[in-house]
Amino acid sequence: MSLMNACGWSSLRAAAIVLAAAPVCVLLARVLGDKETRFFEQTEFLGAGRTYQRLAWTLLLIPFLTPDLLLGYAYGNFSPFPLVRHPWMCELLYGVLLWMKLVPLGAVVMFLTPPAPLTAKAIHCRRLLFAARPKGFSTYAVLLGDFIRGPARRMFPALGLIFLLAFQEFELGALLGITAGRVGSPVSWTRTLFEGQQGIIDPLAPLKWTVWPVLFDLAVLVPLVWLISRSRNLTVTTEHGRKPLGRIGRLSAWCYFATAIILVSVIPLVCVLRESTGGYAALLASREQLTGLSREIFVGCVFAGVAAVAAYFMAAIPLMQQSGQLLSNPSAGGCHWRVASASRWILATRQWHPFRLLRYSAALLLIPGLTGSLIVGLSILYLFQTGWLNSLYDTPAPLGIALVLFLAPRALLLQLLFRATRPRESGWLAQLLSRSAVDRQRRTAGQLLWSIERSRHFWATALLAFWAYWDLTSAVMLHPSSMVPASVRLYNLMHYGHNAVLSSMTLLAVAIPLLLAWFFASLLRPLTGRLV
Amino acid sequence: MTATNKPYNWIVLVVAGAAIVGVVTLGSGGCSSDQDALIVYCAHDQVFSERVLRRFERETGIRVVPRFDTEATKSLGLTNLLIREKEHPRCDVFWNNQVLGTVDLRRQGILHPYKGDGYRRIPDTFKDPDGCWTGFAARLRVNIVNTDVLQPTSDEIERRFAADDLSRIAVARPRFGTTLSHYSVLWNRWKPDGLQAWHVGTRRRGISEVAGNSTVMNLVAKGTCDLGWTDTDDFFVAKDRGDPVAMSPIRINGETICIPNSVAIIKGTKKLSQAQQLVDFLLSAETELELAKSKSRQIPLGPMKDSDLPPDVRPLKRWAEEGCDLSGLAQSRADCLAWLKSENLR
Repeated sequence: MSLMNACGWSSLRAAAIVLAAAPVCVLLARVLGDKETRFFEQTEFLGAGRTYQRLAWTLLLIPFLTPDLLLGYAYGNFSPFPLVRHPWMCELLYGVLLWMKLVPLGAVVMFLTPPAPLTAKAIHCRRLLFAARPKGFSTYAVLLGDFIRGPARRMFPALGLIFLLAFQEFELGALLGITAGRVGSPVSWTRTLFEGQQGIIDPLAPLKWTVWPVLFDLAVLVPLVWLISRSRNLTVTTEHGRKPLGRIGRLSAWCYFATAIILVSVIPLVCVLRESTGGYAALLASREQLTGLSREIFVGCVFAGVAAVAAYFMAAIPLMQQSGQLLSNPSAGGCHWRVASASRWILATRQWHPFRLLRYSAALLLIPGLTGSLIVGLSILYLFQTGWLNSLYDTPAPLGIALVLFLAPRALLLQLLFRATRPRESGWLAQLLSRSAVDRQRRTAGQLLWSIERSRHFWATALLAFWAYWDLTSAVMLHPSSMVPASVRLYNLMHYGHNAVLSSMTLLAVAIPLLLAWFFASLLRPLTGRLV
Repeated sequence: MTATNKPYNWIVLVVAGAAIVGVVTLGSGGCSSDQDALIVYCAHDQVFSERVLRRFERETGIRVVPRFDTEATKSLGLTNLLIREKEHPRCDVFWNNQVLGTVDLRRQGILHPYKGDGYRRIPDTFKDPDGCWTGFAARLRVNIVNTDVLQPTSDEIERRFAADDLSRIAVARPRFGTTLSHYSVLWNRWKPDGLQAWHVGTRRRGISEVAGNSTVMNLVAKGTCDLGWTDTDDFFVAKDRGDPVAMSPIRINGETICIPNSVAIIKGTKKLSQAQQLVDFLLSAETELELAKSKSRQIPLGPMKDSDLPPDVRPLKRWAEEGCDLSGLAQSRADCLAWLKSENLR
């Protein structure tokens, strides 16, 4: 299958996932904003609404955060169905898993997207107005305009992102072995390109091949950026006067939570956990394997940690005010969609200032990551394999840069998310308390600030590190010979099929970074209390 | 920045600084030790080759930094990487899991000749006359069958391949690894038209083309497919697991397909003496015996007593002696690969 055909297939798959995801995202976005959401209506205890909202967030994020390698390993090769002989079943499984993993992202983005300028009431009034008129082209054009300024404005950023991530997916498709019929040709442009680039010698050729995928990306990105640039404010969506979610809506949401968690997280985890019995003993007995794995996990964590911190700071630059304020601004009246306003402002001004240049450069660096890790990785590989950057080839620099660029748009999303949901009043009060002359009060203020604000930044960085840690395509292409991240070795070994040692290695590679994140969080919490 | 933000920003800067120092230390540590270490590009299975390389480190004190190939694009990825890096070579020694890719590197002038002790003990059929590469520890291409439904007799296998529905037969994608070598032999023996007709015919009849030989083995071992093409090392993984499998060597015009590993020094290496030590180490009787006794049951090519060999390997050694000569098939490989690429992009 040609790359163009593979792009076509991938985009059709992504479009189908978007269509299936749209109603679920709308529903879940309402669940996230609805403090009254609970499955059992009769449940009443203090703070039940908040508890259930937290539960909804947790349940939503678990499938999204299940590593693709774990998922692909569990369902690939030894799934109960002979997928290799039934490519459509394999395709269906891939589509369903991808849909379940991406719906949470869409729901969160939809939850954060500002309400459309045209309300449902206004659109309804217009329809009533047009009901008596004869239907002509102009009527449909007006209704289409209403749709674009109304529901589409709210849905497009979320659905656009789902499309991009579904279109750019690699790991799960590669491990499930999705093919066009039984002829072994991958129906995923990422896999076709990834394998194709290893099969050729001309380093420029893979970059030429990326033209088609980039065109597909741009077809979504250009309208997406246009729509975002026309949105003035980013707020947590709480539409006043909206009816609370009905019983069927709540039931459907909880059905999604249950199915997604079971299919995407529980089944793979249980499968791998069960297989890993006996693997730990063998792993402990083999000093070489244990040392190798530990080193690779460490390398993966360091790359991921550094890239995450760098990307998070870089994404904050376009959001900074000229005074240089970076992390918090308790006096800010609202959270503006600063990327859009900054880009408008940059285009409007002709006066170049170092700070503006910095913002402009940082905003530009946020763009490449939107094309996905594979295209970023190929471009970086080309830059470092040829020309004056060659001296840095086979050093940590190429992989580090690729990961930062890959994470940057995600970091921006997280920055915006936290700015939109920051509890400003309590944060401001805690900051006032931190100025107290009494040591104990200052320490308490530090702990309060950690739980209110700073832990969010920590977990945002941890989330970025998690994405970088499990990103495979950049790591495979760009890792230095002496620094192999764990994901690369696991991906290679997973092609041999399942065994106890590999299952135990996979679980360790999943668990150790999580434990490290928890360890750093517990280390930083008291530290902030002492340092305030 | 307000005064109250300063302590927090300080913490963030400390964390960021620590992380950067960590990566720089790791990087510089890695890089500085890399200057002394031997960079080995290794297309052989990591689980088996890593052990051999670590033993080399222990015995010689020379540090080895291996770079392994992606399983899905076995050997082709590293071969092409070496060609791309021709002007600025990073690799010192290439341990390929087959021969034809190494022959191609020799044609491109990337390899440095070396005829050491190891070279001398390997038969002429499995080495370059000028010493640019040397074969060792081979595998055979075999038919793997699930014994619950099939016996590995040539009649039965031929009957299965002649059937209208081949969906229960699995082969690896021929663009990579030893399946590419297999196809190159077929290209040479059956001529291009013969292979192309056979390839198109089997795809039309629904043969299952999968990611690699290990996947073929798994599918047959689990009963998803009845028959497949794989390598002996993959077959033994299933056999050791107790799966119901049996094998027979694939024969073309009476010859088996014996695919040795190959080792070569990369031209321009600054660690020639260490590279030569590694080449001799890999070509030694001890290493061949170690690989023969490993779970992959590699077939030693150098002289070795039958009694020293594990029972599983003894019949393989006899079949290996009937293997066709691969060293002259570089052009067939190049032509076949070009055709496969065009076929894949249709």
